[in-house]
Order: sequence, then C-alpha cells, then structure tokens
Amino acid sequence: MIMQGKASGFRLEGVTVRFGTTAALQDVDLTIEAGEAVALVGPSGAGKSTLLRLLNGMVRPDEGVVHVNGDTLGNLSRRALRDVRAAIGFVHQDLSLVPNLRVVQNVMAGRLGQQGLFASARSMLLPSKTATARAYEILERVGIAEKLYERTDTLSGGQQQRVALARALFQRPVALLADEPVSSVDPARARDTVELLTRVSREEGLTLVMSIHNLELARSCFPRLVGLRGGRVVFDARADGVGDDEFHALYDLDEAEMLADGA
Amino acid sequence: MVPEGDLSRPFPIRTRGAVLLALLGAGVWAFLHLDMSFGQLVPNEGGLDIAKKFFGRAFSPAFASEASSVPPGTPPLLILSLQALKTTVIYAAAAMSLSLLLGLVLGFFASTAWWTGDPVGGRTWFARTIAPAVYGATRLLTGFMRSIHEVLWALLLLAAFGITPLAAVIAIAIPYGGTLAKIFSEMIDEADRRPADALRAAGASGVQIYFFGLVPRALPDMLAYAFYRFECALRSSAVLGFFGFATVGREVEQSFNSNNYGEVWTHLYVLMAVIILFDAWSGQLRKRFVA
Repeated sequence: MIMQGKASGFRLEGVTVRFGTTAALQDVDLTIEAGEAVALVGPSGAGKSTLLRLLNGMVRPDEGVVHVNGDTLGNLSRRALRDVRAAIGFVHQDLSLVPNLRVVQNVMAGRLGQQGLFASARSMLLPSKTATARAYEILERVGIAEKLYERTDTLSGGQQQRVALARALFQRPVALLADEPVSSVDPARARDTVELLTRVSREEGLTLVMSIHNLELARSCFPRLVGLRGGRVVFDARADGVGDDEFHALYDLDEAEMLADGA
Repeated sequence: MVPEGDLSRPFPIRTRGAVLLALLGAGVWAFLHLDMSFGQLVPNEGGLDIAKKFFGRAFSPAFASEASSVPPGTPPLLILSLQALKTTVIYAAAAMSLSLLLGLVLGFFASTAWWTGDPVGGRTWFARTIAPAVYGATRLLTGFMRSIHEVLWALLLLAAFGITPLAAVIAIAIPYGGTLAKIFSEMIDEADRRPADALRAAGASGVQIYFFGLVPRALPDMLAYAFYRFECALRSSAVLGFFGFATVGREVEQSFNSNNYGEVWTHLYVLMAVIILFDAWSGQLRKRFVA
C-alpha cells in the first residue's frame, strides 16, 4: 500500500504493449520522479493514452516492467492493484462521470476504491457530514462549489471536467494522470483547465502526468515534455529545450505515412 | 486513388433480399398451414346475433345490474365493478413488488458486468469458475420462469393451493420476475462503460462498479420498463379472474355468461380507465427521472 501524502514516482523499463498485431508502445524506458510534472505530447495514435493507462495499472505490458512508487505492478494481487489504482487520480479524455447522478455523488465515487461495499453504499446514498464537507471544499477549489447538488448532466463540458478533477482529488491521490483533459474545450478554457491541474498538483505535492495535443500549451505549463510518436519516445527534454526540431520530429509526416493516412 | 482489396459489402444486397424473402415466405406459409380463409371471419347466424348484441352495448354500458333476479345483499353494479378493480390493482401491485425483488436480485446474477471487464490481471479464479456457473444457472432459471405463461402458472398453482390470493400473485410474479431479470441485466450490461471504466481506474471493485457506475446509468430505462410491466400485470391480474379470483375478469365472465353485455362493457371501461390513468401517472414520473 502506498503511503498517503507521499508522492508517487513511476518507472517504465523496456515496456512494449500490443493490441492485436499493432504495437501501441515499443520498448519504452521512462522515469518520472515523485512530485514531477510531465506533459506527454505527440500526434493521436502515438501511444499517449496507453502509456497513462500503464501507470495506473489499467493496461498490462506485454514486455517490460512498470514500477509505481517502488511496487512492480505485475507482481501485485488484485487487491493490491486496486490499492495502487485508488492512490492515483485519473482525469479522462471523454465523459467519465455518471450523467444522471448528482455532482456530489460523482465526487464521492472517487473513494470507492478505499471502501467496502456497505461503506461505499452509505457514502453514495447517505454521505456523512464530514464527507460532504470535504466534497464541497474540493469543488470550491476547482471553482464549482455551488454545483454540489446539481444533476451532473446539467453542467457544461468544462464544468464536468472540473467535477472529474474533483473526483480524482477526493481519492486523496499521490499522483494525477490526465488523458487529453482539454481536447473538447475551447482554447481559453483549455489553458484555464491545464493551469488548474498544474497548480493543484503543485500545491498538493502530487506527481502530474498529462497527455496533451497542444504543444504550445504543454511548453508553457510544464517543465518537462516527453514526445511520443508511433509508440516510441522521440524526445524527453526540458520545456525550454523543445524547439522546432522536436516539433518536426513529432508532427512532420514522411511520405510513407502520408500515403497511409491518405488512403 | 482506388483502395486495394475486396470492395464487396460484408452483407450484400442480394443476401439481404434473400433473407427478407425467406421471412415473408415464412409468414405466408404460417397462414396457409393454419388453413385460414377470410370466409371464417363471416360468423354463422347465431354468432352474428350475439356479436351484434354485444357490440351494440359498447356505447351503452350498464349502470345497474341487468340480472333478472339479484340475490339479496348484492352491492350495486358499479360498486361491484370498483371492488373487482381494487382487487385487480392490489393483486398486480403485490405481484409486481415480488417480481421487482426477483428481477433485481436475479438480474444481478444474470449480469456479466460485475465479474468481467478488468483489463488487467486476466481472469481471477472466481471469474473463471463460480461466476460463470452462477450466471449460466441464473440464465437457465429465468428462462424457465419466463417460458411458462402466468395463466399456466396459475393453473399449476391452483391445483396445488386452491383459489388463494397468494397463488395468483405468485403465478404473475414468476414469469414477470424472470422477464425483469433478463431485461434489467441486459440494460445494465449494455449501459455506457466509460463511467464504469473511470471508477475501475479509481480502484473500485466489480460489484461497486455494477451498483454505482452501471445501475444508476440504466435506472431510468429500468424504471420505464417496470412501469410498462405493471400495466401488463394489471391485465394479467384481470385475466386470472377467469379462474375465480375476485378480479375484473371474474365479473366479466359472469356477466358475459349471463348475456348481460352492458355489464361486460361497464367492467371493461373501468379497467381501461385505470390503465389510462396509470399510464398518465407513470408518464409524469418518467419525465421527472428521465428528462
């Protein structure tokens, strides 16, 4: 069990993940220290989501090892794997909230992994005052406290993204993973959301790994960028060291790829 | 640029046409096999007379007993009809409560969502042995419950227990419980998995994911379906009156057998009114939950 309040570091060694015959990730080595903030950049299909899902034990590597804060994920029992997942908040790309529940219930759901069935039934149906107060406090931090008892699907896309972040924070995580959290919001909101995630992680001392499409946004909000393409790490650099060459390495299509995409 | 490879549709028009023709053919064959002709719809003299008398009363239902001699102490017709209606509704409500309980409990065991779906760790011992066995047994059981109609269950239970209310309630609850279990489990298994996946990523167990990720998502549909089944239960409860239970069916049968067609229409209109009222009420409730 990962100690609470202690940030989580990640280490991948020679990791390959295949879906059928295509390799989503090939021979990836990557170390992310506890408390670091890292942006994963690269075109769609580069393997960013798969990498994130490796880090919280939602994908199993076909080759190589994944260490989360010293634990090797492959060796863990199911219960221990659930403990690792419970200690890592994940903010998803698409809508991952139950739309016809209240905001407070979606936030409470963040704690399911740390509760037995009856305790979780209680906190979903008749939450204690302290739990409700904590949910309110977290919603206040992400700027939508007044939505506590609204039905989740009455909120805008950006507000729902904040509920998802609140749910992740309600886990009292040691690390936050975010998979394209701003792919469906407009540019101004995108910057707000990314800054909110980096600020909260910094204040709480959480490790933050975020996949993000927008290289500009990544460069201005993160100290370290990891570029992925075709399932491989093509660069791993400080943000101020990422320039045109790296950009081209990520996004320039060679002839073979143009033909493949244009078919 | 023309893409290479097989351009034929996976399910070509010609195959679709053949399937459609075969279905049509099966329908025509069924009619021919049953030796049906429109001539059979022309009734004989006596039948026509009864039909005329019966439908002639559709717009003039009885407001008082039409029997030539009423045993002393018999309540007036409308009171009689409303009493039968009350019994019908109570039977349906009791049967529906029981079948909802059956449907929710058996629906859980007839669902696969709570023991499959974790992308990591393969299948545990439980998910490879006990869970599929329980699932299969539940599917068989609910299939058996559904495959016998409530009227046949009533016949069997009557033989065992006689005309007790419990026999009627159980007769309805068995096939309805089986149907609800099947439909509920399918609605839950087919609910959007993205919220469920997010809860799994937060460390939730399969059972927690089932109750807090999938059931809430399926709940509006489950509710709407349960309301529809209650309407069906009202009809079933009414029909069981033909066996002698004190529901609307018994009144209909007695009036019909005494050729008091006006009374038959009175009972039918009373039943219709309650079903329409119930539909309006459930529509209001659905709007609150689904919208």
